[in-house]
Amino acid sequence: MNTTLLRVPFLCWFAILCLAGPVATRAADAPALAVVSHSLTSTVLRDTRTGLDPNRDFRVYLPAGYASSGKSYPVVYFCHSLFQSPEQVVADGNLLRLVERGFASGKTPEFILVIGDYSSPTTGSLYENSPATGRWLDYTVEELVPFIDRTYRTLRRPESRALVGEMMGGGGALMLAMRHPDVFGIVYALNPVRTGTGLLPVQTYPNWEKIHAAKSFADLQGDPISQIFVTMSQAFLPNADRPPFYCDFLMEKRDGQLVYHPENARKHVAGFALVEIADAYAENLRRLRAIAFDWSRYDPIQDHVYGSAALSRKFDLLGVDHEAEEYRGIYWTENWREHGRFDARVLPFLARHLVF
Amino acid sequence: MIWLLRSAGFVAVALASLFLTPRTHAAETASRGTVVTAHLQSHALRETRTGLDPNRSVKVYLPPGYADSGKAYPVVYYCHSINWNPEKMFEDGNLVRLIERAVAAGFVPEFILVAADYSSPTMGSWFENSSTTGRWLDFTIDELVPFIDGRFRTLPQRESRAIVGDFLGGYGALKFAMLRPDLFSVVYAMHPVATGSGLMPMQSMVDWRRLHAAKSFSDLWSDYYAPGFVAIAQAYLPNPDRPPFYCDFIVELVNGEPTLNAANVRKMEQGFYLDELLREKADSLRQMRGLAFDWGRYDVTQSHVYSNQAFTRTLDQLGIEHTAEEYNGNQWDKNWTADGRFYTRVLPFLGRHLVVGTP
Repeated sequence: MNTTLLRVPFLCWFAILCLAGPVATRAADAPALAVVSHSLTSTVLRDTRTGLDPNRDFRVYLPAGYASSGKSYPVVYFCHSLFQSPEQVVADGNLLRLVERGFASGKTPEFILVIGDYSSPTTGSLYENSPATGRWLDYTVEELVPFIDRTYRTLRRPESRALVGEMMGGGGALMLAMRHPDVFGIVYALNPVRTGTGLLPVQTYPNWEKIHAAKSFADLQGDPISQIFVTMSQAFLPNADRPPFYCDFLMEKRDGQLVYHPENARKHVAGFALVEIADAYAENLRRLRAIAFDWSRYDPIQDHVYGSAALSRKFDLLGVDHEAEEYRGIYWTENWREHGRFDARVLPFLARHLVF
Repeated sequence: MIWLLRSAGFVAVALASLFLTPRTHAAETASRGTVVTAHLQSHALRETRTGLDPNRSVKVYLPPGYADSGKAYPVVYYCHSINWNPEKMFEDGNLVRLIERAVAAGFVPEFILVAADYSSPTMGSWFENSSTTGRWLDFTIDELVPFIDGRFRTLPQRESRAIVGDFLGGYGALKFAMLRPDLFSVVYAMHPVATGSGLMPMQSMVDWRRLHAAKSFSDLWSDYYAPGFVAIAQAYLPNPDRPPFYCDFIVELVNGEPTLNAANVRKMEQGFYLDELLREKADSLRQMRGLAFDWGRYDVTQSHVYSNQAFTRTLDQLGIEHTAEEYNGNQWDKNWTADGRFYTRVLPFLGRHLVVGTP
């Protein structure tokens, strides 16, 4: 199962470690981006079963010369991962530093960077459309993108809009791109998850007893894997009549025993795994201007390695041109360092394919 | 006609003749560099059993303005693969276009590219020193590098020399980095092979009865792997007394039956596989300013994929910093496209690590 699973604790811990580790240093000649914080009241995300606040607090970073240039810019939409917020994405300063230095050095022409808010009271968005957890895909294309386009001087065409995401946000970026090639033309997913079904049977991971005993999401505190499986169930097996989580499960309880439910499992995987979803969107995928994703060979969850390679094979079988690179190391050390994946792979990729 | 002093610890003088043939590519004028063809009379490749011509051509790409700039440039040595040659490398102009596009984009400085001729009457060099097929390692180290430094305005220092190659040439590039870290400090191997022994015992890949029945190299071509196995045997198990191929084999006929010769297997592995050489030469790779290799996931010989995965793990266990990327593609299809591996990976890597000027 290509979920974020154990990634989540790693992500939390290593985000903290990164603060102390070697980070890209600010170039003296790299002007700072101008940040604007927005709060947009979403209509799309109003009625959920998770207590989601429809006021979304996202951030927009403008190139230093935006105020005076009079120019219109391409826009890069960043999709964050689970248990994250826009604030956390920029907390260690690496992303912004690398973008600033990329602009200053000419590695990439200037763009507007939007860091959307995909956080929730539970795990955060899986980039789904669900009556239980929210129509996040619709929110992005129906509300966020139009808001940005009417508020800023943007180039309003797919070839000038890119999606970049990390882990669950990488999966989300791919999902948004394959569903909306009329909005987004370029996508780079850093270590995406939800790419495939991985190495183990999908039911293997969470604590199903605990999930079925839970009265609320808080009862799953400290067990991020089970939390994520609840969110997945809410996203892909929604059931409006079934509190407390308003969803069905691929492992159900019958007479006190856990029973595997193959139909639910099928629906769960069909909604979740990009490798399965891709078939239906092959034509859209072929229309995209540029697709790339990468993953780290030493991911302790080898399901992610396996799932991403399978997704790449699927794209190749569908005739979807893309880059799919497996690299040495582990994403949490490779993504945000100087000459790392974002710096040496994502920024040049955007420079090559975005129309400025 | 030039007399070239070789520096191999003994006094030896080889005759070298240099013909400079400037070539301009159609529709590529003003800011384009030139590709010249030099000729090097090799000593190391003189006595072979394969009819190799020791007069080796070397294609040298000189950046725009080389003639007038007075500057000295870093040098990138390119090792092409088997069944290939420098003529083919340059014939469609793509290679030069990619280099000059990258220079214009500012992510690699101008450099001299040297593409020696590693082709042969059979398959080409396997980057060996063999009495049967030629001392290709010596040719490169003792003859080619001094020849280039003597004829062109190079920065004759390890910090400003890179070695790059693809497939067998990628293997060669890694091998030269291991053997001579005093000469090279930057190496990028595109889809190297023979980094390790792969997925299956190598004797399982060939019909040895048919191979032993062959009278000449041309008898081997109907079998996908047989020519390579003979070429490897000639390179790493040479035997001057044994026609027609002048080598021993890992599987010999004993009373007419194909029989594994374990001693020959071991000898071949030790000479050929880079993970064997790595046991002695880890420190060489530690000294690299930049070490990278990549490979296509879809090579039908999955042993190459597996060996490269194992090789990067071994480097990590040895604590050797490097880049090792696996991409969706085979050993050829992603290398030379407009946004392919050479343009988006190799050239920026050279730009990051090659030193222009004094280190």
